[in-house]
Amino acid sequence: MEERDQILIERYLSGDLTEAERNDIELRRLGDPLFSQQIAEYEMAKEALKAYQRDELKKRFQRRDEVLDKKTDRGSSGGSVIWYILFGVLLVGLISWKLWLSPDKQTNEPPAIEQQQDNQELQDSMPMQETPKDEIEESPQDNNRQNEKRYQEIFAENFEPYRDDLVEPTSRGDDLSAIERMEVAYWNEEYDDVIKIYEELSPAMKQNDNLRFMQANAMMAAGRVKQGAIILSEIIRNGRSKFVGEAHWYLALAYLKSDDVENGRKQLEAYLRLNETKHRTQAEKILKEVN
Amino acid sequence: MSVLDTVYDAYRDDFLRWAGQRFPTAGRDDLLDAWHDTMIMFYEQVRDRKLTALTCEIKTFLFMIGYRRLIRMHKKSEKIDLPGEIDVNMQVDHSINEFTWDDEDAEKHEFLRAAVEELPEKSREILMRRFMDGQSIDEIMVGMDYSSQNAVSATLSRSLKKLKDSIIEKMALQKGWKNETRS
Repeated sequence: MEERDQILIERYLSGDLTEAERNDIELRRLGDPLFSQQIAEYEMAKEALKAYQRDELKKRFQRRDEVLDKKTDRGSSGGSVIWYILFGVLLVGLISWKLWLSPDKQTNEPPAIEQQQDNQELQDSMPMQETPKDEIEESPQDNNRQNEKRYQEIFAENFEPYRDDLVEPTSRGDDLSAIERMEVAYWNEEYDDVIKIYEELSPAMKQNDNLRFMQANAMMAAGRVKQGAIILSEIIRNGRSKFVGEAHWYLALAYLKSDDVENGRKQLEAYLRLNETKHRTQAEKILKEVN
Repeated sequence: MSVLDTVYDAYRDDFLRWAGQRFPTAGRDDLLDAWHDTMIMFYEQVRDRKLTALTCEIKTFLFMIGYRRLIRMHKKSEKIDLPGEIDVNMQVDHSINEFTWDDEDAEKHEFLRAAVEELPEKSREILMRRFMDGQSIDEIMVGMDYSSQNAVSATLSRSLKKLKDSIIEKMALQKGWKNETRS
């Protein structure tokens, strides 16, 4: 092909021809299969440029996401993912250890996350109950007990299952799927039903961290704080739910309820590093108090 | 591009929240993918001058494109109820119907993209300026410091030919490879 034709085709593809020139090309295409084939090949080159630009735009948006997420503490670089995974594994291990493997009440260790009535029973059987009354007025045990009571109060004062338009059901009526029924039950604060309906979900849906977040909240509302906390820590570790940020808040409350102030503090600090938070004022106030 | 970034940033989080409510099981990555695709489609429509004016707010327009994208992504996996407001109450610009979601052939997309990537940087730049950014010969001459319009035209046609030849070569290789694996 002559260079003159190449330039003509380039101008044709970039829409730079006059109407007369474009008509000439169209006529030539009709009468010359080889020329038509060559134009089709050049059109594919233009398609390739589009594909390339599409990929470049995608990369550009991913870079913007990193910047935007960094502001909200949701960075997802490879390195930080590994740290999140390690942190998550550590967290789950720690919770498991706290909850199940270390229930030795003789050491004055705070009880693990349990229902409030269970906590009271455990507190009643703790050695601090036997502290002689003629000892100093505020023994460390007394302080511990007061702190523990205060953490329970913090939980009671601040815990409310997550509620905003993200969990508002979009479908109502009789012919609802299990997910929709779960949403409606959650919205109607029927938390025992939420827990039951969750069990009806398919195995794949049970892995969905958005639904698990609702499940964790429902469990905490129903007094099953321990199970709720484990789910929340997994949601944070997975990092794929839109509720990851709020999961820090609820996990902090769960830790405080179990008298694990150190981990509670860490979760509150992580929560306050986020840009968008629903419970910022409460979290700041609690952090100030526990510090 | 900075305008595109501004629009992207301004509505991204609102879209994630809004779409998250309507697709409760969608993960954050799915929602982000839909938002990326939405912005790409929007950009391409403006670039190709298929979209020149809107009769609704840009936010509403983008959200509807994203919503359609998510429906398409989730159509096969679960039941989706169209919220009434989308069909009835929202005065969405009719040009939204211009948007089509072609599920590209991933293999073809990859070798097309690779052919562009393999071009010398200057060839790639001049082609992108001309065909994607819609720059005139004069604009390219100034922007890339060419000495004359003829030099721009000649470089453009050479670069385009190089790209076309590279694609044909890749297609032939792929065809040969496919024939080999079949036989």
